[in-house]
Amino acid sequence: MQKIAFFICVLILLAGCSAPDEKYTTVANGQEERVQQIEKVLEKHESIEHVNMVVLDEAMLVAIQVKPWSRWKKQKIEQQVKKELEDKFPKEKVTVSTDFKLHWEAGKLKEEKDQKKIRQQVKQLSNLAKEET
Amino acid sequence: MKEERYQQIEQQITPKAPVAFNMLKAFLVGGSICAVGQAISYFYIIFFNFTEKTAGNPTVATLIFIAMLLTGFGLYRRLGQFAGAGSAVPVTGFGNAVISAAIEHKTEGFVLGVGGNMFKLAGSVILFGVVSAFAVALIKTILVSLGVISW
Repeated sequence: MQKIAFFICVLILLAGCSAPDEKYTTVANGQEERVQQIEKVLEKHESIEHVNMVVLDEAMLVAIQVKPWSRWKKQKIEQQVKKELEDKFPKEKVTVSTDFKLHWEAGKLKEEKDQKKIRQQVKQLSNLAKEET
Repeated sequence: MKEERYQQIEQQITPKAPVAFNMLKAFLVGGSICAVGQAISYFYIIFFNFTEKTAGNPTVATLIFIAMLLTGFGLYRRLGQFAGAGSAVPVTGFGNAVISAAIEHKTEGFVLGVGGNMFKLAGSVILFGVVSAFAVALIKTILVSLGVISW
């Protein structure tokens, strides 16, 4: 029993040693310039841990995961980033969310090749972000 | 024997409750229940169309359902004996309170027995929940209409 407990403890400790991933995962077709602009905006916020973003011609989805202690201020960070991005890109439809669901789904879009499906999914996710109950 | 003397003797004889150990047990079991709840919440987020905001309701429903099954099989009682408040304070304690009252009064019939006594323990929880939610919503509505805060 003790050996098993020790083994589990070692596993959990070692799991913490894995190298941190890249901070940004992006899905963008020929929108690299805009991606850099978005990254510049996000760089100012220190409490952001990881970002999955999908940048299309007319819309963008920025799904943020914040650091654990900043989760109390999740909504505030979300609103701030949204406002900054909307000021920078007034013509596009900007969706910013700190929700885990959107982060997860946006991360999955990286493997998707079909542009039409990506567009559809982004639309669906931005609708999902508005749901209250 | 005088009352004071009796109390003195009683205090001497009564074994001391291992408060720290009980708290540790409650903490561990309550924490494990919450960890299971978190796992269920992630399950709903990943496999269904729920966000962090909306996954709360189905998670609570699932936890209550599991606690009800465990109560019916007589397993929750053992957990309650071991963990005390650790198993009563999370929402699973609510399911346990409903079903244990229903089982207890089953012999009196389904309508007057089960139906009438099911919410004997948990009814007050529902009542307090509804009334306090109404009060909070009322305060928030007033504050929003006055323009102090926004939704």
